[in-house]
Amino acid sequence: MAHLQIIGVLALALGLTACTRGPKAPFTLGETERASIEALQADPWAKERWLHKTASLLRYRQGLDAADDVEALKSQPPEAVVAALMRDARFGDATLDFALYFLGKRPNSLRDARGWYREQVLLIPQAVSAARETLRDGDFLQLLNFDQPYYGLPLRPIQGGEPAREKLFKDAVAHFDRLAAEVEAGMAAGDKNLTCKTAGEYMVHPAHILVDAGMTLVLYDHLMNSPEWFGEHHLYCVSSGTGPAPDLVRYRAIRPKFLKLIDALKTQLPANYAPTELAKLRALDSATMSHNGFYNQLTNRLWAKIDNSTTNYNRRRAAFFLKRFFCDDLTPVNVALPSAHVTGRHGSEPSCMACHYKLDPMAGFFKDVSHLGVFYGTASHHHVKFSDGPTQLHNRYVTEWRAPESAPRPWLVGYIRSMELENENTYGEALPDLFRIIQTAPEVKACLTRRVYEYALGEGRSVDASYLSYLERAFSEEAKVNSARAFKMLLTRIVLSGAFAHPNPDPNECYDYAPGVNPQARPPCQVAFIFEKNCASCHGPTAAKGGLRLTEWVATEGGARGFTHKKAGQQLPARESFTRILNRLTTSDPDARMPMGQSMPDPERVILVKWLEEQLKKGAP
Amino acid sequence: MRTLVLFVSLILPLRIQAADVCSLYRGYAEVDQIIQARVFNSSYSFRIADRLGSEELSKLLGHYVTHTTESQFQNGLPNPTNTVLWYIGLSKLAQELSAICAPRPPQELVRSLNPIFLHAANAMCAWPAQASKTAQERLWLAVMGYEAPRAELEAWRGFFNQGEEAQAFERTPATEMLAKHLALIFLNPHFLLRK
Repeated sequence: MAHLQIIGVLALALGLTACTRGPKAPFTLGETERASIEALQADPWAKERWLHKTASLLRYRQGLDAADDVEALKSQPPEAVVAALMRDARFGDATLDFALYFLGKRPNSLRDARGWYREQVLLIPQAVSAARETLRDGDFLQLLNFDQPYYGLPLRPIQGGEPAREKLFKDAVAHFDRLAAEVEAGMAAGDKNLTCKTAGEYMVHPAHILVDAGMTLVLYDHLMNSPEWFGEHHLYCVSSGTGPAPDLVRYRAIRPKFLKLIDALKTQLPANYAPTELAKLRALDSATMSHNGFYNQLTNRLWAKIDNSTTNYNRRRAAFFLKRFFCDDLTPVNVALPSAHVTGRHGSEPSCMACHYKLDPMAGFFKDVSHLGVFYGTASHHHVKFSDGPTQLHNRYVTEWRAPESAPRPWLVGYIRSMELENENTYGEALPDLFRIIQTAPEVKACLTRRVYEYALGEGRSVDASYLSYLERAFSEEAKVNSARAFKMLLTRIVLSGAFAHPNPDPNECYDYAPGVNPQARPPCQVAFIFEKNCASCHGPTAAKGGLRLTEWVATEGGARGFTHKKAGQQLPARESFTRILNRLTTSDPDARMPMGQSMPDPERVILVKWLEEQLKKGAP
Repeated sequence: MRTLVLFVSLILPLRIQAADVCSLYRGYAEVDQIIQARVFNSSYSFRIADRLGSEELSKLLGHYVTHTTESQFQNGLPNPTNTVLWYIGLSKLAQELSAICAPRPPQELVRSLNPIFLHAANAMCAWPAQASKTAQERLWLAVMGYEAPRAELEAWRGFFNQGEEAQAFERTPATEMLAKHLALIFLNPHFLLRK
């Protein structure tokens, strides 16, 4: 019995130990950062250099200034310095600039000479919201939310000042009502000539008056294109000159919205609104405009302006989303061959399928959206209009994505991770499904992590995959608790990395590894990085085509290290694996040459080939 | 002119790594911001375009263009045209700033400078006295920050204090020397090129 008690106590003690040593608490730094902190503390010049570099990054190039007590900052632990810099309002601009970088938009500067945020910045509200949220430790992942308010600029100053503006607002309403009355009278008298001419004036002219009153052209575009406003009639009457007679019921429904819009515009008068601080940015009253996220002219500028031509259908939009949100930089070869498209060969050739298997189902998310980004609805009588002119019946167009009858789903639309294993993929039907996938897919968090690293240290810099995975895991876990704090911790870890702290880092060297990873047991940094960049989507953590994972470096038979490369479940000897990889990199057969269907820069291919040849010369078993 | 030759000889060999982002200029907007933050205070808005006399010319120094999808950085690869434009714009700025060492420095200029820079630059007005030599590092850090390895600072200081022309520099007026010091910081690849 005494033995059992001792065993019980031991078990309890071990259990407690295991608990305390279990998963690392979120929002704490690990041994990787601790080592960097110690090194910085030991070298005053390095610390001061790091301090300035960190301030420049976290204050959007503003750096330290006369208001900073540099000596006091130098005496603080680096992590405390980072936390202090992140409390500065300028950190909001750094976050905003990063958010824009993530989404692929880089303004030359965020603000104009008055210190106002530029319109091109405000038109990417995901980025603005992410930055605002980060400043208040809210939800940084608003960056991935497409249903956002519109942060407008103040109304433009006009000749005659505010009295003139007030008069124009009144004129706009009067014009609206007068034309509506004309339509009503005309319709009552059976005047069929009213139709488009009057409708055009009725719709367009009041909106023109609002532009004269200082409203931005962006809002004007919104009014003209949004179906809830004038969009449908505008499309028929102004674009084609034909269409249905004006619908008085509809006009009457618009009137209260029109008045609300004018009230909303009045809150943006330049005298009481200057968009100089993120926290004080004001969104227009969302009741004045459509905010269904996916067909909002104001907030879908991220993607709506990408063409859906008859040759690409919606693939350019799909490629944009894959690149920006999934870091899947498709670089297909031979896509510029129209004849291949026309005959249909292109999409079915093996090398092309390397991209199309995921590109085409992603394009299907946009099947119900016009080339202007306006939602068609799913009614079959709609014509899909392509940016290059032609149209096609919507119900014919969507058959491109209809699944075979035997399939468990009606549409072949989704984010595809694997051609073979359907259960690894995430399927959907329409744009809201894509937006949901973006908010939940682990690949997006991984991509976000990679982009933060690139933003802080520069693009094209080699980085060990284990280190990125370490950052990504920590970010994903912490984001479940608080995504703004998780983003700040991610940045903290990065500015405390060896690469960031290095005075002049070599872009081809790795300076950081995940805790517990022995750098000696890794392939050379640059080689691993090139494999990761060009090959990991098919031979990486989520897919191992041909049994090869180029992201895993393992001991093989005979003691030599090589990539995980299995045939019939058995790991290949390193020599055979290297030989196979070398052959696939150097062959001129387009159906066998790797990376399949994608281009890899020649200098990168040369580095891999030389390294593999060296491994074989060294006599790997 | 000697500064231009030195600058071109430093920058243009970097074209060898044409595909490497390390070899790109930062672009006019980023350099504008850096100079604004390190040299001027908020009462003045620095734009290199003003020194070139044209907004369009500044775009040749590297800038982002956004079409329908994504922004692209254009004109950032060093070439003879943008290299000379950087030289013109930044030499002119160095020349303007050196006026603080004039017997009667323009008060408008003095008021526009940030105190850290002003303090460091003022100390250089004592050239060739020892006080100015000890202020060199402060000037370097005020403008370059810590963008460059320490060896760059030593090389820059050595050029003025121990180089072939050091003796001639001893006889050169402080105004001119401040302009030279500043130009060689502004035109240093670590200041102008992306990391």
